[in-house]
Amino acid sequence: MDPAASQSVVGVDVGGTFTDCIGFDAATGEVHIAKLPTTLDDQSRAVVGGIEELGMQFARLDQVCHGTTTATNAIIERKGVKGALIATRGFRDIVELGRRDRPNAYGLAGGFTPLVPRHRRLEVGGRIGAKGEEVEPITEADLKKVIEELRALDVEAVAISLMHSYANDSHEKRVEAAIKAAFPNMYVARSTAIYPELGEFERSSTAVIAAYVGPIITRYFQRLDTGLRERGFKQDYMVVQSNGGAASHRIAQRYPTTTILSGPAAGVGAATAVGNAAGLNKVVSFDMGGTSADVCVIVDGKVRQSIENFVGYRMPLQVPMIEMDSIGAGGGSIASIDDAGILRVGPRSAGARPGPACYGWGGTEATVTDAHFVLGHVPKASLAANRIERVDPDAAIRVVKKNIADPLGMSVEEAAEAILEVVNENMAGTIRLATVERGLDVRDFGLVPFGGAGPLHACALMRKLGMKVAAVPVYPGLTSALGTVMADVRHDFVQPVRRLLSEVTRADMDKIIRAHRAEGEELLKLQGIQRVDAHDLALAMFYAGQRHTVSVNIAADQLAIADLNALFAEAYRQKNGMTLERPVMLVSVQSSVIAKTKGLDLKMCAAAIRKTPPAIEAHTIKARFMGKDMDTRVLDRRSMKAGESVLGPAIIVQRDTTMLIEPGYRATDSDIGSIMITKEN
Amino acid sequence: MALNPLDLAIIRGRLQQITDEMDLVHVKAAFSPIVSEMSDRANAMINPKRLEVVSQGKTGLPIFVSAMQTSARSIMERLGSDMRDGDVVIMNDPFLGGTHLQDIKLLRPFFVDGQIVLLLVSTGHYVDLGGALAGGFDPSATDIFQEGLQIPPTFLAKAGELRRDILRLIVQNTRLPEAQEGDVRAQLNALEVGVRRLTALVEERGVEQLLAAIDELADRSEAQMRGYLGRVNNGTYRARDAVEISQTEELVLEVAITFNDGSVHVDFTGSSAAYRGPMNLAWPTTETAVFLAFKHYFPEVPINGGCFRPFTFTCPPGRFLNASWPSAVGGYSESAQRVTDVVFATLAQVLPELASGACYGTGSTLTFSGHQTDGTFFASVFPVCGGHGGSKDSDGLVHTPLPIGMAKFPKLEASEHDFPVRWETMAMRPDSAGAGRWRGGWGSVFRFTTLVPMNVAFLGDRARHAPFGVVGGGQAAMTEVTIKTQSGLVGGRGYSQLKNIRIEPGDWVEMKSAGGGGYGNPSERDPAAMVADRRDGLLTAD
Repeated sequence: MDPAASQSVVGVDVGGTFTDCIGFDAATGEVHIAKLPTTLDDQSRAVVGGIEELGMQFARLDQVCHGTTTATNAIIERKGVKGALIATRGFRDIVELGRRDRPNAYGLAGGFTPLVPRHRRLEVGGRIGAKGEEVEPITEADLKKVIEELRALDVEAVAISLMHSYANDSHEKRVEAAIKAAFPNMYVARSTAIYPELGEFERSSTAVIAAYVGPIITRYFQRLDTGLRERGFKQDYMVVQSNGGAASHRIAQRYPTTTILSGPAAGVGAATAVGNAAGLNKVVSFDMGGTSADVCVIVDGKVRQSIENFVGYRMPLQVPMIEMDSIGAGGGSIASIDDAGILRVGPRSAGARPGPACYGWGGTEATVTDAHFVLGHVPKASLAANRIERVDPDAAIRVVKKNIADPLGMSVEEAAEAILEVVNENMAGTIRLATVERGLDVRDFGLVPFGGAGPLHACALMRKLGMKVAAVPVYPGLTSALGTVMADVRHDFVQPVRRLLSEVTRADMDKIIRAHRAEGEELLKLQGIQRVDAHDLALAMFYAGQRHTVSVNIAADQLAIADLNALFAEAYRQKNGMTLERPVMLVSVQSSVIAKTKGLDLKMCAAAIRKTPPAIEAHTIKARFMGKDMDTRVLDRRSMKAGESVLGPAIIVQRDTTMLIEPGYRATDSDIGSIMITKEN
Repeated sequence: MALNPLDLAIIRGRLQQITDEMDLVHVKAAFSPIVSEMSDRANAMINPKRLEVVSQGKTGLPIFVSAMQTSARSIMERLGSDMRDGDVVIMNDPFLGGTHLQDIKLLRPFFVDGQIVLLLVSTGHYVDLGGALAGGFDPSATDIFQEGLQIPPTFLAKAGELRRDILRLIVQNTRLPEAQEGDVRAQLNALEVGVRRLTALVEERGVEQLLAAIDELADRSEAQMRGYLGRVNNGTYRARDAVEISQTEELVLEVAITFNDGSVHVDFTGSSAAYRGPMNLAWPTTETAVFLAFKHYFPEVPINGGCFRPFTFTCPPGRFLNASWPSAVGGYSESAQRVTDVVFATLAQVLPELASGACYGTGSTLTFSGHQTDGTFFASVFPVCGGHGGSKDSDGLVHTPLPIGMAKFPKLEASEHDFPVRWETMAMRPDSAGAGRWRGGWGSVFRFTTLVPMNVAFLGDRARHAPFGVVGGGQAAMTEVTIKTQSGLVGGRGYSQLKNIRIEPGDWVEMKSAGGGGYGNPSERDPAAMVADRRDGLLTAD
């Protein structure tokens, strides 16, 4: 159904450890949350179980929105299906040979096992040239031969990727038709149907990944559909795609590679909405969990898309994904002394098990979380609110002393502060690089920290980066789940062009735009949506002779060909600090056809959270900041009134996270549901 | 000045970030695919007092591991007293900075209060700088004059003003003026970013603390390196290998490496004399090749001048590994790779758990040039790469960069857009891997047909001396390049170089690269792995 009309909705995000659920009841104005261990063998069980725990009736839900890691897990654990690849004669090994690289710059060991082994990589005759011309026709005999070979292999899925198919896909389509005719139930992933762009290895790898996970995604989506319908849910649930947009699961199944970054993309969507509501037009989304932190740069509500993505060594995946930088820094990141005798934090992580030493699950190494415990940043009240029962703060002191403080000749408190300082510095570096790469100044940005550990580090990052404001979402630990219900329905299409801008006509562009629009409208109609709210273009260009494109983003109805040179020059200048006197080439046109979702009223969330009674009374404890033990106010977020503020040092606790307000910073509960952190003069 | 452990950790991270950012800016702004797509470049900052590397970008090419330090040293010796804020020096003299003419170094001093605090250096590969053969990998070269434009340390900018006359002088000497000018600007960009970030770091930390940390970090890196080297039993260990320079001749490398309580002495005295051909090395190249071999064994060691302190060298002048001006050095990548190979072969004797079989071992550059049907000139260097060696826990990878490099491989589809060639195949080469408990990686087969008349030259190696196995592993198949010309086939087995060959439309070039050497006794190989190799059609011999 049309998401603009949605009322009672549930968002579910499946992570590696937990399945997070958040539900909004339109009738009562209540917000419910649930956190269950992820059911790794079949994610749909925890999804359905989580919704049940919310206590909402399936039959009365208008929408269920989902972020999933099924595709990612299948690749990482190598649990995809038995598939084959069909390549142009002479090129079946391209997908294993790759672009010539080592897993690491230095070091000589390491191997690689391709998703499709060589004996299941087949070759077919026919050849397309660089300009799309047919150099050698593909014959019936060629097709017959490859079908027979395929029959002998007995596979469940086939990837097809032929040379220069982005310029002329007729051979690929003929191979696809022959396969469909011979094996009607075969899962087929055709390279140009996924992303028609130059690059024989990247296209082949993308098609192989799609074939490898496609049937698994299809089965999973159907299983979840059955599970929800059996309990009375009447709609097609929605899935968040890697580009940050949502699609009905029936549509998402067709493009399984678009769900790889589903959960993280949902989190970024929520951060965008939170930033918008706070009136911030430049936002750094910062999602810090147990093992890693993801950073995303959002400008004017838009997130850059990246095409050159990798799902592992030698496995590029060429589909639009939100551009995200990851760093191995989380609550479980391990602090150690390296061979040079210098303190290092991460990228090794204690993970969910054994986890930080203070959790008492057998961890013997000092982690970021242990450092917070040593400094009193996670008070007992916080644990109660988080429903964590088994904690051993003495273990934190023990490991920090033994592993860090003693070897470096520091006190335990100094060592704990040093651990935090180093991890904060690493994360700040990642954020700085992410903004610099786009030619932007991080000081102009607001921070949206979330994830279980994000709000503990918000002030430190603001301090290091010179950022003036942060907006902490309502449920920081459930932000990705929240984001799933805020995602607009969105479909992306790409058309390679590869012509000088001076040769591109209005008619050429209109033809591409119309075709994308029609495809988008058709997909939206299949989801019961009769409107298009936005049609955005990303025009990838470079100076003729370059390899890295710079994109100009513009709404389809604002496009004026005459302006493109100047727009490109501006985008190029912003990124590289200069422009060049050279002809500009239009490499490709990417369209995003969007139907906006009504999303959630964040004010409703804020009101709902205040309806729940606080778990603790406000009180004062000693906690350590900047080398000093300070009287620190501890309060429950649920007890804060709209407009109420607290000056740091303070610790704000809630069920899914702990927020650290450093001295010199002020936290204010805004009426939009976010806690705003500002620097106090 | 007293430094606490935290300051040290923070400053180390920040220095690394700055050079990483320079690497990033350099690649993003560059014009030539060899930089923008293949990342053939490096960026570093140097301590001007000790003339040692402080930090180097993580994605820089390994062959530049100590070359940046040597270049800075040469430049400062000659121009240091004239250096002012906003100056930029350019140079490519291999005898002063290593490698070959194609690698242009730019140096910019970073001043605080009138004093040079650090030096920023950026190196990038320029596809063409004139010379007899476009691309510079000329197997016929007998001296450096034939290989292109030589640039001694020269001011490219003075007090922030670009010297356009110098830039024009350089650009006019290349066959690709526009792209090469764009690449110079990309390097200027990287240096500018470095200066901006250092300025912020000095504002935050102060010069004193920064310099104290730099000294401390270098001392610690030295101690760390000595710790690793000290694991090897004291003694002298030797290895021998060769670089092929014609169908019958070769240059011999002989190394004796002496370990002594964490210090290492590397002696190349037994190696061949310099010759009138392009496989000579300027001394800085030999030195950097040795360092990068050790870095592959101990990847944890940061690239930092302190790590180089435990090493001393002997190599009499006049050896081909210490050739003097005006020797030709355009084939440096072959000899430099062989230097790392002999060091690897030596280290495999003393640290077998860290060893791997030799890789295909040759830069194997195919140069082709001519005119497009519309009359425009084109020139391209195509790298022919093969298999990596097997190691303690895995078979060797296919299609890897040389240990001295990290450059990526071009897209064949893009290459058909840019050049009048049609690729027929790029595939794994059966029966090319060295046997072993863990076999080497397979070599590859590349073949294209030309669509226009063109000149082709091939400069490679390992056509008569196979990549070796280690710890009992077998050797791999060798390089084989065949060219179909109007008068028949040229090259084939045993040919590691083919000079300036004319081919016409419909003629073809086929390059078979070597595989990687095996690790461990082949009789210990998992039988299932043998079955899989046969099933995949890669193991056909009995």
